[in-house]
Amino acid sequence: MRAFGYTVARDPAEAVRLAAHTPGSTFVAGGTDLLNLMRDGAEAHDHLIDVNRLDLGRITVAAGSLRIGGAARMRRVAEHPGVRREFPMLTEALLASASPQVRVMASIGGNLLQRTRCGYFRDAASPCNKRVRGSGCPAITGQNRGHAILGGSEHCVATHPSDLAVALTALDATVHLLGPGGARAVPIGGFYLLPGSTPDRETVMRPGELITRVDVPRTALAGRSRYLKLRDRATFEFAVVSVAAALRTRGGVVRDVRLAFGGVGTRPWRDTRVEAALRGRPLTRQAIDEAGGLLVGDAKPYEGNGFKVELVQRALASVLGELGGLR
Amino acid sequence: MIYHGSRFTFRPDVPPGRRTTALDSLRDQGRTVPSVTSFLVGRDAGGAYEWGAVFVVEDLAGYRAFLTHPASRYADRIVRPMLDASISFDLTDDPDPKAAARIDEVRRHVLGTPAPSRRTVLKAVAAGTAAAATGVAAPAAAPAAAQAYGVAPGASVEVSMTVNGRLRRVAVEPRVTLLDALRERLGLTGTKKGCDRGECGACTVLADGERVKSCLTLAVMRQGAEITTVEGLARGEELHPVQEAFIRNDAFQCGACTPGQIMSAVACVDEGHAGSEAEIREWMSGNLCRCAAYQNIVAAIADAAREVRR
Ligand SMILES: Cc1cc2nc3c(=O)[nH]c(=O)nc-3n(C[C@H](O)[C@H](O)[C@H](O)COP(=O)(O)OP(=O)(O)OC[C@H]3O[C@@H](n4cnc5c(N)ncnc54)[C@H](O)[C@@H]3O)c2cc1C
Ligand code: SF4
Ligand code: FES
Ligand code: FES
Repeated sequence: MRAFGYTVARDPAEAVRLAAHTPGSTFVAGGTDLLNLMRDGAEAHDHLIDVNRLDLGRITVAAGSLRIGGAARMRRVAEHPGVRREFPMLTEALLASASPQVRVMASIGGNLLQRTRCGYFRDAASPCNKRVRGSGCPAITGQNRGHAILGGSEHCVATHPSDLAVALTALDATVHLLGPGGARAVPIGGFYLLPGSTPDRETVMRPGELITRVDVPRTALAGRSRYLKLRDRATFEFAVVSVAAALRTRGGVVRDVRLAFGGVGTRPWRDTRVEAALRGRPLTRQAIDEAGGLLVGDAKPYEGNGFKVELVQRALASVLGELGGLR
Repeated sequence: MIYHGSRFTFRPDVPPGRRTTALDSLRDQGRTVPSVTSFLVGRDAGGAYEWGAVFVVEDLAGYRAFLTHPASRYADRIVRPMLDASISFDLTDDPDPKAAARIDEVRRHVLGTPAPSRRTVLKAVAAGTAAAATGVAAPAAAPAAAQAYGVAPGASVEVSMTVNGRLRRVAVEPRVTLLDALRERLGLTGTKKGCDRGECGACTVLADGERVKSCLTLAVMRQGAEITTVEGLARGEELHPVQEAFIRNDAFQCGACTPGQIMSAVACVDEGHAGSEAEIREWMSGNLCRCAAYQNIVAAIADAAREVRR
């Protein structure tokens, strides 16, 4: 790694001030993605601002919502009794992520902002529009087994790798930010951007903004939720396809449902048309198949990832079947 | 007046004769460099280091002359490889607030440290951090829990950690990982480097009681932490139950992954994630074994867990 400076920030306001006044700086939390990116030359920073001594690690179940501090560790969130009880999908998504060691170190903010695992992006020697705008996208005609079938553009088809982000997308979480311009809250549905012609911009975050908190509304629905992750190895691998699902039925009829998908879209993928197709209908194989068909209606598979069109529908059927007690 | 100083500890394997040569080369430096007005090489009374050296020069020109003098270069070449830990600093009584920055600039220029990002540093300081901005790796190595500190690109900062029960200090650049600090600076080579990117688990250590991958964390981020490596598990002659179980169950072949497996296993048992074979496999998934000794590793951990429960 090339040399960089380092400052420990004492409180969120100071962290933001330091970031604004230090050119070439970025925040570091666990460092579990950032250090690899810097080692590989996929990112270069002159100065790291350590956010680990900020009081941003709390996890509280408040009146209307679960509040997760931006620097809370994946392990702590997964183990939190309130999270396990009321948001099983979050615990499942976290425990299906990375390894026990990484979960001890990695923070929620860092998890949401981890970069894609596209091999061309991580290889500084290869062209990549996300790393260097306008340099080209070798994945479209090259290795694209792990890439997206939904939401891509001719400039980039990389998936977002976070499992947690998929679950938070299904649960309508809100990301709280603090920046030089003050504090603001962004619904997670509007947090990630589609690649379009600027795949280097992945979120709506402005320079120097800090993730202070993620709020998840407490609903009865969240308590009946699951995260299914399909991957090439049994454990410790990024998702090929994943489904975050929350479902409430009464008398076999879908009262309410939330669905989000990982591994298939260029951002954590939510399509409310799919939910609408299920809501108010009896939960049958046919209804599920139709919903799955809607999901992949606009899919644009490439040479290596066409199998995801089928796989994501089966994953959806499996989760809904299980949550809805279908056999 | 500028006081250029350093504090240092020799590597334990450096014989007394070579230590004397090293200290003499420092004294020669003080005697022969014309711009040095006074100097001292002696025992460090602070306790953290064995030795200290201070050289006093009149001004910036004298400072530059000191750094560029062949005697300084010679002393540096002789002494540096013998050191276990060291820290250097520059103090000045010049009231000009810019003086420290100028000293730093000369130091960087002469010693050829990587392209300075001066603005970066100064801005960081202006923003109110107790920064070691002058490359004066600050004696601010205070137990940093509550204290912010900063360090410029290319400069070093002192990190103190309790490693296997002993307080250790290392002066490192921010880019040095905990793994490299342990292996290369503290000589604790029991912790292995496999992939150096978080995938294999060979570098697993305990930080404040939790298992972490030491290749994915910076030493500077562990200021004040309590680190346990595989060297710190045994109690005297008595091996840790997990170590015993690994031996009993023949849980290694080439041994490259073993220290990481053992450290991870200690945490796995501790966390209560060793209840069944499936659970052990899941919770040991961050540790790969190229020799595929998994069957015996899992058996060893199950064995150790029973042992601990008894
Ligand atoms: C071997 C391995 C396997 C993995 N497998 C999975 C997996 O299966 N599923 C999965 O989801 N993830 C996986 N990951 C990714 C892992 O979850 C992320 O690396 C981790 O969550 C990043 O968090 P961090 O705190 O270490 O972030 P850092 O590496 O410290 O930072 C990442 C980015 O976030 C920024 N940042 C951090 N915190 C904040 C904040 N509060 N505000 C603003 N910006 C911030 C940093 O500036 C940086 O750009 C894996 C990682 C490894 C190494
Ligand atoms: S898919 Fe995106 S990240 Fe991958 S090479 Fe193409 S532009 Fe880069
Ligand atoms: S060396 Fe750290 S995980 Fe491989
Ligand atoms: S024993 Fe050889 S790598 Fe595990």
